[in-house]
Amino acid sequence: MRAEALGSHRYSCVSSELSNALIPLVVSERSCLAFYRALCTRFSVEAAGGPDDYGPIELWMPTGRLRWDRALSAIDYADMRLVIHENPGFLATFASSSTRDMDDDLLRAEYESFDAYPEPTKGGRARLQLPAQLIQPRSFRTVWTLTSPMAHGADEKSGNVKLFRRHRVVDALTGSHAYVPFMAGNAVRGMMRDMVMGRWLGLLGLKASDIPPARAHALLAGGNVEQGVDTGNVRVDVRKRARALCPPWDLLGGCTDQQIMAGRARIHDAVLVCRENAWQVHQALGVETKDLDEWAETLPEAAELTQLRLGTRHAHRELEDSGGSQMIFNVELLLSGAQMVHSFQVFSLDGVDQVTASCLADLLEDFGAHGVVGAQNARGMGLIAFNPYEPGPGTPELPDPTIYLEYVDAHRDEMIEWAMMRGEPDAPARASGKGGRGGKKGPPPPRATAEEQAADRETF
Amino acid sequence: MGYSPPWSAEAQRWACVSPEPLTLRAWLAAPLQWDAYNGVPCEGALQYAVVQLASGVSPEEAFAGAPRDELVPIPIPIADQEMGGFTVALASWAQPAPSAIESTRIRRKRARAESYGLAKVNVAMAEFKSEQVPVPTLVSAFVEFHVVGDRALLNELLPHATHLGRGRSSGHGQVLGWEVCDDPERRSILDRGRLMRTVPVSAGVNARPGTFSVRHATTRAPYWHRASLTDCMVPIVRVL
Repeated sequence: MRAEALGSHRYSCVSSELSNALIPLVVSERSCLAFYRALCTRFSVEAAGGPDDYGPIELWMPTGRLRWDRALSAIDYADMRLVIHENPGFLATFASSSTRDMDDDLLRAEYESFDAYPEPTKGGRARLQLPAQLIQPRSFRTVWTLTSPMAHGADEKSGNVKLFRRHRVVDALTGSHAYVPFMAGNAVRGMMRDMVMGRWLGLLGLKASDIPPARAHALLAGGNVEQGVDTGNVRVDVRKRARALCPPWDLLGGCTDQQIMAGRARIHDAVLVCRENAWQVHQALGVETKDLDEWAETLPEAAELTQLRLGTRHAHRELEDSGGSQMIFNVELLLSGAQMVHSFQVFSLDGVDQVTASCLADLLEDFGAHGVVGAQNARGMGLIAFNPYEPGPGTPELPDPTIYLEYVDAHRDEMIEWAMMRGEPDAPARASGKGGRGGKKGPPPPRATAEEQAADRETF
Repeated sequence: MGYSPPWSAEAQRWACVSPEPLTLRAWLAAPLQWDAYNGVPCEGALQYAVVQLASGVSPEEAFAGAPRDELVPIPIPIADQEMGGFTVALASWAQPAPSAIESTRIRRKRARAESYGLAKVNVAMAEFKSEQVPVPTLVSAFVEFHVVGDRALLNELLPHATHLGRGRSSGHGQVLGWEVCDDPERRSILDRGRLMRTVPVSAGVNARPGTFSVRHATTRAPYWHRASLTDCMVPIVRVL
């Protein structure tokens, strides 16, 4: 890299730019050669040498020098992806160390510092013996087919590139690891929570902004535990009331009225249909275990299923007093046509109220009608098509959604009263009188009496 | 006479009757929350399933009114053994597959500030705080538990053991399916000298040095309950 080509500012920040650029480059390219070309282009480097350079780039090692194309030929791109995902900063640190001013002894000492690291091992790449038959937990599942590209933000920032969320998986067919795009169950759960709560409030003729903020926060985001609250103080009456008057709450749970409540539904990650995940998703796609190897070979690798899309925000400088700044950004998208297997469980369906199960059926109908997942929906991303969720082996069918709708209609006034209530009047006491930043002011409410606690046991 | 919940008779049907050494292999569909300090036992997941099936409600509601200082026994199809004055389940901690690796998952929670009917919502602190919490996870195709248990009852109960570890509601530790196999080596407590689960120091288990540490820990599920807190030999878990 030359300061003249990059400019002094970029040259001074080259290590952070390189660190930010490595992951987007490695996910957007498909081979070592393409990655290297993109890297060189980004930093205005002539790999083959140019008029101001000595010649083709070479890799300097204590044992000698190696031309870049030969060095690349020895690298497995899957391994390169894995290493770069692990720690791009590590690579950028070495790549941006200036060797120009070092004498040979210093340079050799730097190379020899690698000796302090243990020998790299690939370890554990043994194929796992897949079972012919599993005892499967009861669940509902379907296959989403993306009818437009899908965005779902990664955990970390990479400069002006918003990458797709990935996690590390083990491919049981090869024993190898890979970073594979997925949609977090937590994100799907949040989206479903928005839908089912919004629909419930709509049926009551309310908007979220009509009800107390703490209740709205509980319904839409799961609520929060107030500082100092004794979470071990279980109020069955409060819980039963919440579950009975708000079926979506029974379904998804959260924390309201100082009660942390488990929901009935467990929403899983959406699993990408790709070669690395073949062993996990084959049953959902009707492929028998005996045909798994052959089928897996027909699937694309996960890395083949995303692409970067360039976006621009214009400054609109033609407008008077425009304070905006021109900006380009990249978003990594899952390709249209990709498929994801999604499932959830209702535990235990036998013990779940029919109204709650019917509420879930209503939610799934609503979800099917909206057919949108992930981020950037306003730009048309995340459209999906799917067949209705099917119950797996041993899983009972969900009841009709009309049970829920009729129930809401019959208990409308009580539901509105519950939604508008600013905490239960006889809410349990705090464990201590401490008032923190998030705690309510004033004296703590009285503890539940011994009679009330006894009543809880009787009503159970 | 200890506390007995109203559904205890219903739960009793899950007590181990015909114990035999088995390996329960849980094939995982999602990463498992894993802190590498305390291992992941299987008894909690089985107890959770038993309580829900017996009571029809979630465990925190099923135990409403129970005295906090009393550990209520929840029968599961895994045999117990008295060791050093404590009851210990004959079940190992989760043993990861050879290709397992530790990783991290970010858990996000976003306040829907526009929906709260307030002029100003601070999502950086206090009650509406949005969160991004990194949680350590284990990426593994499967984990194994070596147990002494009742095969028939386990076959019946395992379809209800849907998740392992924490973060169940959002899919962490999701079980793709279970396998029940024989374990002729009886590895529930020791595997070739390596300690496989927490046991009281007073039990005098002859584990190989270096495979365990000695510290305060609990010996039986639910492991958060202090009733079984004592000096224990605790396995050191390393994923290579």
